[in-house]
Amino acid sequence: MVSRRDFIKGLVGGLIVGAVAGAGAVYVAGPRREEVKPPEVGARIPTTPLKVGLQYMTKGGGAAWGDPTYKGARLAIEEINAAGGILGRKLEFVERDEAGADATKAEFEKLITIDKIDVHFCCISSGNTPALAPIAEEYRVLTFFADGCTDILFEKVVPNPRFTFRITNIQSADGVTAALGAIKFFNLMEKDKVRVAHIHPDYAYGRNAYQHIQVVFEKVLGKDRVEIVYEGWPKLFGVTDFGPYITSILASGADVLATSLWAADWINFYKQALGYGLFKKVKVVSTISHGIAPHMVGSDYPDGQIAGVHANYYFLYPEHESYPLNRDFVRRYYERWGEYPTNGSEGAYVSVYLYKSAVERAYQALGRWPEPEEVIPFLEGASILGPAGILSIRARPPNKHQGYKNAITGISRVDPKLGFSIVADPLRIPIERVTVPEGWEGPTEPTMTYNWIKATWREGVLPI
Amino acid sequence: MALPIYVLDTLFYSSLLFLIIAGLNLIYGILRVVNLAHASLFTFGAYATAWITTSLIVPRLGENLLALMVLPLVLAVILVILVSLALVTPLLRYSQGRGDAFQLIVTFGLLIIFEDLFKLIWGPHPVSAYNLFFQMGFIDIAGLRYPVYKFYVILLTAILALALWYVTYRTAFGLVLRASSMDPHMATALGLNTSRFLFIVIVLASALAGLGGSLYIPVASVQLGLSTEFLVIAFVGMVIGGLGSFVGAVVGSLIVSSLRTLTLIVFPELELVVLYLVAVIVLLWKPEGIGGGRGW
Repeated sequence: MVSRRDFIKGLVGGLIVGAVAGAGAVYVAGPRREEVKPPEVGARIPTTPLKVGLQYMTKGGGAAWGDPTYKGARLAIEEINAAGGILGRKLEFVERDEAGADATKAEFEKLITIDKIDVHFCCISSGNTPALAPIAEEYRVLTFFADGCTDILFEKVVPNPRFTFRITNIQSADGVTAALGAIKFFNLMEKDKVRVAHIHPDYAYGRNAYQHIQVVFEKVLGKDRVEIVYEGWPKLFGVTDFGPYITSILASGADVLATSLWAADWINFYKQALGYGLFKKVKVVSTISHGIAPHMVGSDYPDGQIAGVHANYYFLYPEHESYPLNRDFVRRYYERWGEYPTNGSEGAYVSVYLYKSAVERAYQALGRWPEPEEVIPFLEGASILGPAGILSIRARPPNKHQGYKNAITGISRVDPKLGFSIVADPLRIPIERVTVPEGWEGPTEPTMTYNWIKATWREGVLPI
Repeated sequence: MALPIYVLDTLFYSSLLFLIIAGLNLIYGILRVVNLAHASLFTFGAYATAWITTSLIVPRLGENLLALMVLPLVLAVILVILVSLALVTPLLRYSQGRGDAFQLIVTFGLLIIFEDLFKLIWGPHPVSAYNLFFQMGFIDIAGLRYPVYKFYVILLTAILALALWYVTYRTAFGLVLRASSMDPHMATALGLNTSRFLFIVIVLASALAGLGGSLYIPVASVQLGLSTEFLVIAFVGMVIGGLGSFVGAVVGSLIVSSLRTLTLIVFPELELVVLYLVAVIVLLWKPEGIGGGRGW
């Protein structure tokens, strides 16, 4: 039992150490040869297992995204437990549903009040992270969002978070990266006029993608050279026959189709579009076409399109031969689950290791198991080497507690060896080129990155 | 001009909807049970067809057009009927006459059970089998390519609808069907073998849903949650067309599909709003539905 005096002493000590703790700390995700020295007998470490909440959408249409994300977290938990847990404490997970915002909130509250979790890993939906973050802050539960990457979370809902952190790149980076990829790969700078059709799921993610693709096109190519010839807004997972949409896109005479349809929606769309011959007439730029389990994008997927992976991670990059951390992660994930990881898998996997590393570092500083608030300084400004490369947690607004790593997109190409369409010719963009930097002040509507692009990018210049 | 294609797509989508709504209406018309798990049979038909196509037919017989057209469909429909008789029928019979709330909870529970079964068997990823879609080829209509498969579905459903109409209005069985949907007690009093009759009705409704799923899968993938999506739209069609009637199923599916295409062309953001708005207007103006809802 920790006395009040000890607690306050520890807290003060923790805060002093913490002021410089996170910044500069570089952790590593994955099993290591040299683990942190196990605590001595009698050290102030609880003997109970560490209760971990897991809440990823594993039912309904979102399961295609949530299931691999869940598998990433599970792999990390299993690896950590196999190596003795965190400071000797085994991780015991409790799984509850992620669904619509209200249901997800209710389940999260049950995790806190009934299951009494110590730390929470969750969420793929942008509708849920803004709903859960205030609860996590109120109950002081360290919460790591793998996805649910809406800009509004840390720009509007919790602009000064303490207990909530997010791992995947911020949503605006997705649209910006896709648009830059299209301009570069399709040589759009050389065209006098670009006729753009848009089709996006009718919710926060689709709107965000639309806005950021459009603002980049208009800024880089010039407003007069970009014409929107069609907009389609199918309900997420609510449309199965895209025939009328495809016909409208073809009838619009578009040169480029920009889309953020994902999972089953995108599979349905592209298969049907093949039948209608859409890819022969229109170049497709997708933010997220290759974001689901890699083998799901079939060998019939047309080559030469912008193949988005949520601007985060594709299992082939960084290249395995030059970056063993990724090679080993992909191998272990494949051995465990029989499929290749997604960017969601990587995000969730890194979340768990990030927490583990911060707790261990806090323990080294404090000499005992840290309280949740004592872990925070060891996360803010920290970096972690993950399968995707280095991820840094921002310590100051805007978007405090947002994780940043270099953005990636590429060109679709069928790999005969793997038997499915992969992201080839990866275009890696330094994240600071495509997202609002620390310290920038400006309007938040629709997002700060949107306004930052409008205000600071030079018209007619490709910034990469 | 893309108009002919819009018309064809409208007919295609209404064909799928008809196959679901007809089954829903049949069950409601005769058993007076709103079966929330009905669309799960459609989804099951889709999963089963995809599995039969990719795991049984293509590895053994290759991309044989006739085999792809007949075998997955027939086998999947038989599977759906068997599963329906084992899982759905006992619960529907049990729910009969126990009040709306009871029926809704039981059939909704069944829907959730189905979802978990789908995940257990086929996993979380979308499942597809586009073989037939591509095997049937494409034709040029008004300068645009159009899949022949969609013609096939429209034609097949039209024939089926005509056959259903004939059975309903021109045969002794149809007479009994209509009579028992209007006054089940009187039909029983007149000597109808209720048990056998209900068995036939449930088999027919399940077969229609299974057929719908089977015809759907060559065009689009099936994933978890699909049942709910189709169920909601089918209910809107049911309300607009008329609860429990054959004509209601035809009218409902055509109206819902036409509204969908129209809003997609004119103002895509309002697709669902318009659909629900029309359902509300119909409920206020003609609560029994446009096609009349006095029973099958």
